[in-house]
Amino acid sequence: MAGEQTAGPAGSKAKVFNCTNCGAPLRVQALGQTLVVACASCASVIDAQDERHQVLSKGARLQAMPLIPIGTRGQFRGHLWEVIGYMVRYDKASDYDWREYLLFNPRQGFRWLTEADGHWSYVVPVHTKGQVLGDTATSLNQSYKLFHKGTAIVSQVIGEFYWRVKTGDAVQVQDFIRPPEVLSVEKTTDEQTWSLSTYVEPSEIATAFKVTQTMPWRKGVAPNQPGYTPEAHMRLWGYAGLFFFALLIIHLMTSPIRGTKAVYQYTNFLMPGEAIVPIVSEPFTLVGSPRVLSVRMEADVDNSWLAAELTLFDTKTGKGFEFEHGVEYYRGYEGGEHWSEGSQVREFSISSVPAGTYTLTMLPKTDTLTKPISYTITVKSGGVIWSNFFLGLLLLAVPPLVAMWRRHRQEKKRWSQSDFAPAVYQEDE
Amino acid sequence: MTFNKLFLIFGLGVCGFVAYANLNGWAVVGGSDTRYNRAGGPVVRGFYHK
Repeated sequence: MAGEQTAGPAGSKAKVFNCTNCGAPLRVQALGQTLVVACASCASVIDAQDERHQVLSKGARLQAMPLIPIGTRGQFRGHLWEVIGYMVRYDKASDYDWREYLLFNPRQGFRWLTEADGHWSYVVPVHTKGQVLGDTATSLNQSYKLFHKGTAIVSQVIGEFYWRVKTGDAVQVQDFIRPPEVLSVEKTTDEQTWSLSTYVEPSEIATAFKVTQTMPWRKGVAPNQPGYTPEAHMRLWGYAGLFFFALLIIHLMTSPIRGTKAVYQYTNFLMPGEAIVPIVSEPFTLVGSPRVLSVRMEADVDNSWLAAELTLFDTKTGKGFEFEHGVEYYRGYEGGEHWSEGSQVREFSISSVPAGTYTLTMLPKTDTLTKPISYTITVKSGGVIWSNFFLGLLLLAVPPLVAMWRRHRQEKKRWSQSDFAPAVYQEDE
Repeated sequence: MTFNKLFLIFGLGVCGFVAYANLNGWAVVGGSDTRYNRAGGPVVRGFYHK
């Protein structure tokens, strides 16, 4: 069936002929543009333009069929594309390989889909040459960082191509990244070709081309895999800064205007030999919204301790809040040096104490007394709860710090595959 | 939803939480400590009816 024309996608015609080497049917979709067709059955590369369809070269048979078969059509990025060619290439230095699918649309021309380690990119030719300066390339006012330099060699090829490709073809490649994009330049002795790749989620490929097989699992981080961009990171810290000021203003606006106010104070002595009895305070009244009550105990303990069982009792509701409070202070000399431990002053807070009239019952406790101990218990109401503010600050700092750590980890993984990693992302030796 | 958008919601939540705690006199950290009774065991906390 040499030279028959059949219908292709709207506006195109296809040509069908038999492989000159093995007789397998071959189809040319991009009439007038396709130069060669590589036979999937015998891996021969056939001249598509010459009516004699001579064999130009022979290569190795495919070890695995392409995930998206030749001839598959899919609606992708706003246009109908047909997969007309498939190529496997590898890096000469590392033997690392990747797969490339040539897409054709009669009006849009040629595009590529590439897949490596389960990561996909959509490749568009760039007609304006980029500018390379050191480790940076610039194209259309965007800068890209050098990620890879090497030699790409064709190992397998099937389908039609718009240049005379054959297995063993080698090009010098440089890849510059600016996730989610890669700016690539391929050089031969005769020409230089620039292209721009954009990362594509595997699910988009599978949906567009109705891939029924399981998509390859993604390994590692692709050079152009999108992550948390520096711009998004700066915005996050900007938001954190704005929240810091908002938190400060909200904290001051919702805190009591006046500072703490002493509502009750009691001073007494504990004498050696005297029985210790519970003490009930005079009633004191708290007004307004619930607030923090702080109970401060001071005692002139010296190498001893004083504790008190305390109950804050609401005279109207009958509710009581029981707690224990104490101070201990020890000191001495060891090796000629003075040491001390503990404090003669301690403060204890009770949150959300509602308005009401209260009494405080106190029962002091201590070891056997050898000398008198004087103590003072002070109850204060209100005051700014700074611990709430600092807790809020800490909570607001966590997401940006987590984002910073995750971004660093991802970038380190990304650049672990490159010989041109910035110092901050280089592997620890 | 992006991480930044989630953070905006989270930040508003933190500010609202701090405002709520302040208005209710609630010291989220350090309020109503527990002290161990010298006789052994923790002191029972919380309001109860007498």
